[in-house]
Amino acid sequence: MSREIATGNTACALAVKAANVDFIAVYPITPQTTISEKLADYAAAGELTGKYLTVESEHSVMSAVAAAAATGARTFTATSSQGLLYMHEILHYAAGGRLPVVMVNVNRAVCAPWCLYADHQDSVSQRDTGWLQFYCASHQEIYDSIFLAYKVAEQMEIPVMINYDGFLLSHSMLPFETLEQEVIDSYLPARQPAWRLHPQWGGTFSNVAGAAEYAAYRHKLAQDTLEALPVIKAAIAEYEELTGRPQPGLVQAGSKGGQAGGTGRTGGEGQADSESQTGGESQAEVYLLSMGSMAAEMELAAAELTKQGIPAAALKLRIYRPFPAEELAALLPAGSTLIVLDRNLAYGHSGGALLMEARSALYNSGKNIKIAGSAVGIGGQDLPVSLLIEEIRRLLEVTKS
Amino acid sequence: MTKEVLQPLAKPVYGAGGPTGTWRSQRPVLDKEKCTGCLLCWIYCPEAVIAREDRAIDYEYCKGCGLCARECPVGAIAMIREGEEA
Amino acid sequence: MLELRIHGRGGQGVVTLAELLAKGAVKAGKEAQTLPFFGVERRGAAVKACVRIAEEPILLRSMSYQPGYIALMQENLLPYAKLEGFGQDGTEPVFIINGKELLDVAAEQWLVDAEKIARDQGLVFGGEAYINVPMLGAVARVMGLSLEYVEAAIREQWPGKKAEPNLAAAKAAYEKVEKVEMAEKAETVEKAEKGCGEE
Repeated sequence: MSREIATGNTACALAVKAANVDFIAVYPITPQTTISEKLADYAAAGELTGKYLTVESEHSVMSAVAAAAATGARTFTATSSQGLLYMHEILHYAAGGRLPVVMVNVNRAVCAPWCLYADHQDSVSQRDTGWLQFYCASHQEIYDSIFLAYKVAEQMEIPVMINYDGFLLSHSMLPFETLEQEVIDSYLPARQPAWRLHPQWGGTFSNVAGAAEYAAYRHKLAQDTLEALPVIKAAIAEYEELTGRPQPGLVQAGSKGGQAGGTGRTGGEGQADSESQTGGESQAEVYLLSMGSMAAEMELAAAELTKQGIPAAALKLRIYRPFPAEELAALLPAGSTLIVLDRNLAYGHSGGALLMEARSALYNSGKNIKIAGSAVGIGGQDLPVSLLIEEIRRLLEVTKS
Repeated sequence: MTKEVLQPLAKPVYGAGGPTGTWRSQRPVLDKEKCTGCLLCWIYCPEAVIAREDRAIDYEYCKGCGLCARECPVGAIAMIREGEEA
Repeated sequence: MLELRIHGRGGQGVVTLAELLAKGAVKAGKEAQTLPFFGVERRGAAVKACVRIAEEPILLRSMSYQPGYIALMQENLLPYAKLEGFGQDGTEPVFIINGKELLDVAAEQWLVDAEKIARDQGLVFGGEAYINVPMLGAVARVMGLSLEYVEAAIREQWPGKKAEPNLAAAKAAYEKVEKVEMAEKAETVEKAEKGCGEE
């Protein structure tokens, strides 16, 4: 194991290189591009075990990796924003075809107007394609998620999309620990598909189906997507055991109330110091749910609110599809308040996608949880702790009225 | 009833990008004695900061790319480092 | 937590400076983060990046608005630093400036002639001096990061002989950067309105 400091996209590329991927096809798009560049560098240096294909568009990318996955290959691609939208048709194809592609989507706002910066509109609008969706809040989570994703995808034969925020994580540097190749190889042995597309097999794939047959395939996919939850948990547990590195759960309560220091020379300004930790989630009355890079900063917001007399705890959603409804409900004490901050907009509804998910997940929980939420950080609007607190305080007033 | 424009519209505006002259590390200086008025600099300038009438350079927005100096057929434009005298 | 915001221009190596500083800090056993702001990636346009160095894992994912340190790669970038914000509530940042004269701000200022140091070491390309490496040395000194870690980061970035002029430049700036006292306290900084535009 070695400790590195590099960009999020480098963390991603390092993990992909180590994951014994057979086939990679990528089309460049900001802010994903440096992943495709790094992987091309590795390919040119002969450091990749698999083949690297340059193609002419994202639609072709997804067609290529889905087809390669059908031949039994372990495949990877990465994209962002409009690139992901352009793949949309084949995303359904990959999931419906039960092809375990792993893709990184570096979250970026969608047009119009044109915008380069982070929000989750690109990935949440792919919610119903049948893909599993992971979200990351740190470079360590990016690195680890690659291996977890292959483990889960290949076991369930469902594709996985790993999401992390453009620039905020993709181009920033943070330290992370890499794994020895033997550890990765033992966690992720070669893919063993039950079936593979091959000329000698002589059959066809994804032929026309009648309603009954089609419905059976699709209901099975829906069911298996739900059954991926315990599989993800088991994959996380095995990873923890093998690496000795604690992993955040499907939805994770903040480990601490805050961190020493802040923005100044001597620390302190605008930040909670170590003595104001939340002191365990059981004391919290207000819970702050979010996903992506914002979820890391929400821990600081929770600590600061606690310091201001509002016992709060941050909840980081790591797995968005399948949605860990029971796990979320279990973290919330009866009568508590849940504030949901989304980095996407649910048009025609208030707030964003996560707010809808949370309401739906908790409706039958019998815990009488007050829920409010809103969309922030759209188009990469910067989210300093002070702004998060201001918005949370506003939403707390909403829950009281 | 007039409808509010909801579309994300934009029009080119002189200097909309701010005073981009601060980007410059070298500035073009025109020798009017040598200038023949052929207007190649005016045609080639990507920022349109050279006046057609008298080839006056708007240093508020000139980024110092040096294309005008390169294209001038009589060598009438010199690139001078900022902070140094022409 | 120590926080630095660097203001420079496209082509001056601001992102590399931030990354080398963070790498040096990690080599010193600390936690670090760089957060470059991308947008106008054009040569000469104003750019900025943040570096955070801490003892504990860093959870912030937003830009820095009240950094303890501000590095200016060029004196005429002060309006951008002002626009971005600093010095509220009496927490004036320490400035590290590539230049020869004090700026009109009521704050601690360290000056270094990074341009001259770079030229002395032959760190010149296309007539422009590579000032980011000497600025790295100067920033490390002011922020209290030992030179050995900076040197290790430089050796990793430029293996072999290429490291030598960079090491010499970083070391020279580390030694030469100087805190300059103001003769009289300048007026309090007002929020800059002119000189930045919409970039």
